[in-house]
Amino acid sequence: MGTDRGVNTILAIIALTLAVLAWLAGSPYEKTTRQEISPLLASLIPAPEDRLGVINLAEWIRDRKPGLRILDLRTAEEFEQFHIPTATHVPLLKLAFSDLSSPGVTVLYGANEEQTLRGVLVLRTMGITPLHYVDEGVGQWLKQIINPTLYENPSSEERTQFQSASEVAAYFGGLSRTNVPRREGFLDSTDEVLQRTMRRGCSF
Amino acid sequence: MNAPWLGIGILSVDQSLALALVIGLGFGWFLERGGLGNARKLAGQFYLTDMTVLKVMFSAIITTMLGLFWLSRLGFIDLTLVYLPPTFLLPQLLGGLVFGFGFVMGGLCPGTSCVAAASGRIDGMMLLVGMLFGIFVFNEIYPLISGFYGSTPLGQITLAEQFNLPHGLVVFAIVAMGLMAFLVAEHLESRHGS
Repeated sequence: MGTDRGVNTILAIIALTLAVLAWLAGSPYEKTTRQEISPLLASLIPAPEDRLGVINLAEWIRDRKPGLRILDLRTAEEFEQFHIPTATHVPLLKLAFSDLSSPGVTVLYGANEEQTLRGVLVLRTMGITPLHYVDEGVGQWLKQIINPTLYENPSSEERTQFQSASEVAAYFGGLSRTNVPRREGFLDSTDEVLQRTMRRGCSF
Repeated sequence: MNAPWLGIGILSVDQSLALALVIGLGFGWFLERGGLGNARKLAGQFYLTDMTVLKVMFSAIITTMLGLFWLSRLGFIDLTLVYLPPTFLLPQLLGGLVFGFGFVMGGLCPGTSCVAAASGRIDGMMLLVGMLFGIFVFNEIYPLISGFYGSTPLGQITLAEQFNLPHGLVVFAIVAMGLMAFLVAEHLESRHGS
């Protein structure tokens, strides 16, 4: 019994010593590869400042920005149905094998945010810079550039955004709508906007 | 990096499962030798007469935690390759209550019921049957409870990340708590123990 207590006391002292040293050491990762690879991982993660609004993209297309390269990651059917003007269709699975060696600014969009960010990760790994992404892709393009809408009782921010969108919308054949009841606006899905756009004969 | 063996490719999945069987047998043997196949001993935990379960659990937690911390710190193991089960707060809270209720009723937990059954105890065998029946029922009603099962997901979190504290400080706090628990357990056993 006395021996057990002695062993227990020694084990407790060892545990406490290691625990105090752990407290002083801080992190279990500092001497491991996690810290070594973290800057690399950090450089691959899409940064919020690389996100590009569709109005800015529309201005770049209109102004024929030198070296602008727009990549559409969606399916061939979706691309055929509608795509952002001057975009090239590159499925996500073929992105890593596409020739992007010429210098320029690359802009990427997909069917949804996840697909877009996966594409950004692939291009970051390939070392493609500068690189921007439009996280809501065609949906935002249809809503803001092809069908810019100013709802009833707009805020000053909405009014400013509408004015910017209207300026470039005219270039792309967009049809501005003003004084739209908010309820109608909230019911506009991307598909509904696309159908309305197709009905009036605007396609690219 | 020398570990984890499965994560860095030293062991295949099949080999790691075979090794898990060996480790499991060893674990069971030590549990049995420690008397943890005896329902009376385990139930004593809930009546504060026998604190063996608490001592065993805290010893395991402290040993594993200090071992992983320092093996990682010294570059022997890559903790990023060690699987961290995700947290689903409410389902796991309810699961813990069900587990505790079954534990205090039967006097054995899943691991110790296997040990008890293997050492020929009838209560262990009955608990094993009950456990398998519970697994069967759970799988049958899973479509009905799948929503709750996946609710309140918090992801793969650790105490240090959740409370924005240094890992080392959390390690120290848990070791200190464990050592205090040992002292309290000794005191309770000397007071209530048979």
